[in-house]
Amino acid sequence: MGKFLQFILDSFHGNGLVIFMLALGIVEFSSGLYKGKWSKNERTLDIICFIIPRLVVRPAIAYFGLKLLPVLLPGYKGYFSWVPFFWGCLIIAVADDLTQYWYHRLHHEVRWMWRFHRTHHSAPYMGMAMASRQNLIYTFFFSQIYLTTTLVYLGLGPAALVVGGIKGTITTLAHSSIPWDKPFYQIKWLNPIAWVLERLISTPATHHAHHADTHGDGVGFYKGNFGNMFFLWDIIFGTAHISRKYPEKYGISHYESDEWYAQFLWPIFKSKIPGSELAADGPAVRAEAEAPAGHQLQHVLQSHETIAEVAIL
Amino acid sequence: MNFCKSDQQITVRNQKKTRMVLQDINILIKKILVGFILVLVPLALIFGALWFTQKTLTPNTANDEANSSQIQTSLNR
Repeated sequence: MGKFLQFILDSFHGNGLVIFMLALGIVEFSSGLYKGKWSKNERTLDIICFIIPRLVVRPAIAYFGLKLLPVLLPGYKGYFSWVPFFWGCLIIAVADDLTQYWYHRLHHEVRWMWRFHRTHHSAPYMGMAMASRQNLIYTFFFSQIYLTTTLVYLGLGPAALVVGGIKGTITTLAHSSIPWDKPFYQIKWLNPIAWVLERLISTPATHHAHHADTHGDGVGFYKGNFGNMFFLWDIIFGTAHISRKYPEKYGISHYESDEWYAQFLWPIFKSKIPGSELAADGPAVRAEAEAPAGHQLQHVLQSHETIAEVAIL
Repeated sequence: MNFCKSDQQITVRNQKKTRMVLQDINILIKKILVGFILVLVPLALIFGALWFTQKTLTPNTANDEANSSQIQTSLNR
């Protein structure tokens, strides 16, 4: 039984999760859930973002864990292997996801960081591919990956495998266009479970709100709902919005289909679309550039399209 | 005399505009630094907490032996 479970664990965290994601994508596409929005540019970008990080980022992280960490932390390999499995899982789950919450939130609230995260939000649709649709530099420097790899080196490997598999599943399903959480809101006796679920983990309703192209209309909430596996962080840090509804439109309202290579590799490659945030002379955040002349902008903790809301005459 | 830039010159100039500049490298460095801090802070906290837990839970056998022999010596006087 132990060997069987080990096999499931290894497979799921290895190829199993990828197969699950592909199967989900096929179901979404076959069901017409991309609603004719999957243009050639978007399709190319989604496929590139799905494949390339697995070929580039994973080996780089493996190199970091196997070659660099023994140099940086000599003698500490397995130093915390005495930590019981359950506690290891708790440590990894909290450390990994809380770090990613802040990494994600900073990319929305720090003006000059937004363009590294913009690609993830540019798609006018939702689906399993969104989970991996990221600028390569954003992915390569994901803080939580390096943190978790270091914790693995220190001895929390088995826990990282389990948590990684669970987290990958939750985040993929949260981005999916299949609203698996809907029955929990519609069926009355499931409502108490919905109450717990939507506050604990990311669900399609809460995460789709984050990908909406609107904010403050009661459904869209791109200035919050930053959590990846746990929605708990949004509850704790006051960035949560729960509506149990799904946005009408997704993406960025001023999106003009920037070239896939610019979205994937900005600032190494730039967009040729005039006025785009990814263009050579483009603004860091487009709403700021579109504010009327003569208005002084106050920029406190703002994400895209919200700077104009606090314009001071 | 032709005072206008040729199409080829304009294309080359536009292509150069889409490439990385010093400002981009500056942003990249800042981003990597922010990410580095986001790794270091939780790592330090977790490492510290686990090291402290390990130290607390591990019996200090060297001290116990020293105390025991001191007690034995005082009893023999």
